[in-house]
Amino acid sequence: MMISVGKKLGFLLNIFLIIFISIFSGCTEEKNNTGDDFSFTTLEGEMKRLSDFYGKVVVLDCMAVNCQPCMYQLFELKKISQNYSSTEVAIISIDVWVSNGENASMLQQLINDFKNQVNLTLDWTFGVDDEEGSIESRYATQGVPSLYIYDKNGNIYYSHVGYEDYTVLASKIDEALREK
Amino acid sequence: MISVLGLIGATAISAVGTGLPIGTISVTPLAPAALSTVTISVPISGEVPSEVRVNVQECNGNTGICYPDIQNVSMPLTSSNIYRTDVTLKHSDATYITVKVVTKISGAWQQSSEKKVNLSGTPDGNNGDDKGTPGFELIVFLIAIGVSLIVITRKRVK
Repeated sequence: MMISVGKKLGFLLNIFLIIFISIFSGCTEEKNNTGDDFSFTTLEGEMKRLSDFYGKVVVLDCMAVNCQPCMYQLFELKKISQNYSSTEVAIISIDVWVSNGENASMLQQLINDFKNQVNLTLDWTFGVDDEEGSIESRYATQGVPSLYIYDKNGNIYYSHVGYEDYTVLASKIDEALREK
Repeated sequence: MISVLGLIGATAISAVGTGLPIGTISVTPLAPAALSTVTISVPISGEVPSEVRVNVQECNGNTGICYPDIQNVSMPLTSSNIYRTDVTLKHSDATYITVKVVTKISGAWQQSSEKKVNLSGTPDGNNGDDKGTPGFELIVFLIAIGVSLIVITRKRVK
């Protein structure tokens, strides 16, 4: 009888310890599956929110002008822009290095350079973070580019820090599009 | 700003650095290691600037990421027209740095073109962040299982 109670107690203690340590030691999945809302200012000076794009799969590109990998990333995002309908997939590139002195005019200059120097029109939503770096502190603490794909309900489906090529992004977008 | 043309291997047309008093940026050693200290110097001709600063950005070309903590360091005048400073790199997994000098001359800020310097490797062989692979957490987890097994065993003996 005593052994049976001891067994039960030990089993429960074991389960409790495993769950407790797992939760508090960081062995949880790094990916944040609960998308949240944020606002940003577009290059046209308009305030937009992520929730304005609900109903579409959203590719969020936290980037910077003075970042070489971010420039390469724009070429990959252009392929997404060309191969997916804007009614299904929205791309948002936000300059999150406001704290490093970047601003809307620098971002606009970059877009102009793409148009004038390599004849590439970056035809999606561009914006800048606020002075406090609210978006950077939540989505790009490790560096830029930081990429997120949201499903149609605004939940983070995929995230990646650093440059990612079109094929990977496209496969994740396809999966997100298939999500109900 | 990074030249878009430069990215695709074409001749870059730099909007900055031409006709400006900022000379060629020198970085020593030529191929520094990650986490090491580099010496950056630049000649500036003409009017004496009221302020000279250098921005050092660290990036990892393998993962395609640039780190957000750009160092912005003042460059004091060390000889006739040479401004110099030492900067200690912060990221063990950085593979290159970009260096840009900004000066304030007659109240206006001017900037040099950007210089890219490849890093030779890490001095301690550490490849940096492990992208979330559990290390410490796994050890704690295993210890927890071990402790709980000991507790169960002792209860059984009683």
